[in-house]
Amino acid sequence: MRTDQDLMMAYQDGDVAAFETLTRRYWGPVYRFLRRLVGNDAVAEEILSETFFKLHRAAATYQPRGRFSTFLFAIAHHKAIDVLREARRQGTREPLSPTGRDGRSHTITLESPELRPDAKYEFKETMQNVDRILESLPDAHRAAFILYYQEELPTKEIARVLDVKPSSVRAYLTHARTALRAEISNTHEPCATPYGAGR
Amino acid sequence: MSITCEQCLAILDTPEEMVGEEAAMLMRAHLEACPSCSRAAERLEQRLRAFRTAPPPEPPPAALQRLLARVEADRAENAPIETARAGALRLGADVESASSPRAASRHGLRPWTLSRIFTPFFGSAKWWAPAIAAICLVVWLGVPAGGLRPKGGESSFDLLDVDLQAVLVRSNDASGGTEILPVFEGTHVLPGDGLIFRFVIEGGVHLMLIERDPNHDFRVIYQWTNLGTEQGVSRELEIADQDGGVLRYVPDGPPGEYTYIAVLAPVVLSTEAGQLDAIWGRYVETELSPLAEPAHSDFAIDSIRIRYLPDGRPERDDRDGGGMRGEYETP
Repeated sequence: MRTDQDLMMAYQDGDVAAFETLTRRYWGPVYRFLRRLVGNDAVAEEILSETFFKLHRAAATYQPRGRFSTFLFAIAHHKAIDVLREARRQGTREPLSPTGRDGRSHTITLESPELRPDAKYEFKETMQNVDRILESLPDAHRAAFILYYQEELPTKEIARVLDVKPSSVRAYLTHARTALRAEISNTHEPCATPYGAGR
Repeated sequence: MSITCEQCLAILDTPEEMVGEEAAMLMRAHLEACPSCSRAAERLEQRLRAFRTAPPPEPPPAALQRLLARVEADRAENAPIETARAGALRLGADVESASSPRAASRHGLRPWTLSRIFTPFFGSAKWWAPAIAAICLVVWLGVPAGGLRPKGGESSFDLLDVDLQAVLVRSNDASGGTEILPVFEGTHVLPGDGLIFRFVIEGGVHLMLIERDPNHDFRVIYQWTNLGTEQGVSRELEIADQDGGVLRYVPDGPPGEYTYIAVLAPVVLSTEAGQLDAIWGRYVETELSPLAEPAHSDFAIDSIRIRYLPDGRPERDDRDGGGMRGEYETP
């Protein structure tokens, strides 16, 4: 299989099929990233299209200096942040919710046959909690969390996407994990073991 | 050795790959003995697992087809991508060929036409068309602004040989397609890099700083009108006096090659078609130097708004060598 960078260089040389291959390869992952970042199907789709159009335009000056995925996610992130800022400025930002602006179900499809009905309900409830918590995070923290746990990018690459230091990414991830368990920590009972003495 | 709940949760909150073996072992030992922390760990793991395994919605296939069609149309409309690899023109290039849109396309560049750049700002061609001899001056400098990002030497900033003289822009033709000499070359800019533009200008001038981003999109990032008699008309340009100043700017586009061109242009103040008066700026010196003060500030990009006098005809101001004087402000 041709590498991403090979495909980009081929596109620079006029190989249109290379661009299509590359686009198909990242179409889904970038959409998933955007969908979870902006929390809206239609907006994510629009940013997705703009991201790949920018990729096409940037092909002329692309140089294989780093991972292609980092380059691509950086474009997507940049565009998404612009949209989020503008929406926030206009007060139209809608929360990440199980049902998006267009009424389509968000994120969860409970079609897995191996899940029992009660397990499906529990899974759905869990994901709703996760969505709610992620929504409460700052954009950069949410982006870092998605790239790390969904796209499985290393922190160094995430730092490049977000244009922050790797130590900042680690702090974002820690904050996100804290938030994910913070809801239950409210009911954290005093530790019954001697280990809890210092708490 | 044991740890407290607080220490355990601190380890729990740290992404797995960043937890050392000893800390992980201490955490496991604590979790085995502490039901509360154990429940916290289980819930966190459950949520992470749900996040990782939830099948997200896929984008509709039609969106991909629309994108590919749009790209194809763009390819047909603009320069062939196959010739576009790092197509930087240098000052030493053959001026005549470089100034041709076709030649620019051969270099993978969309031509810098006056209509392309000026029309969105000055309206129809009749307002800028008589700007026959705009002085194009390429200035750029990049300096990683301190505190914004680690200095890793990743960006390169090349000072051009700015002995540009005045680049003649040929008079407009009926098609409205007079090109500006595309004098630029790639400078790799990473997000957070700060740029310093230092201008020393004599006389009245309208200064426009135009950015060409890695995607070949153009935009005017800064405008300043100096009539040679006013001081402090710009908040962004730190003006010592009317003779110029320093502009700090941080590109906010994607990483890649940015090009900046400073155009010292006549200002058309007349509102009547066919009546053209201009204030001419004269380039004296461009000085590019490393950023002395690493402090960073966000500079909003405002535009100069030019108001016309009530009767629509600006009064003359011969002190500027026959130029025009109108009201203007930086909003």
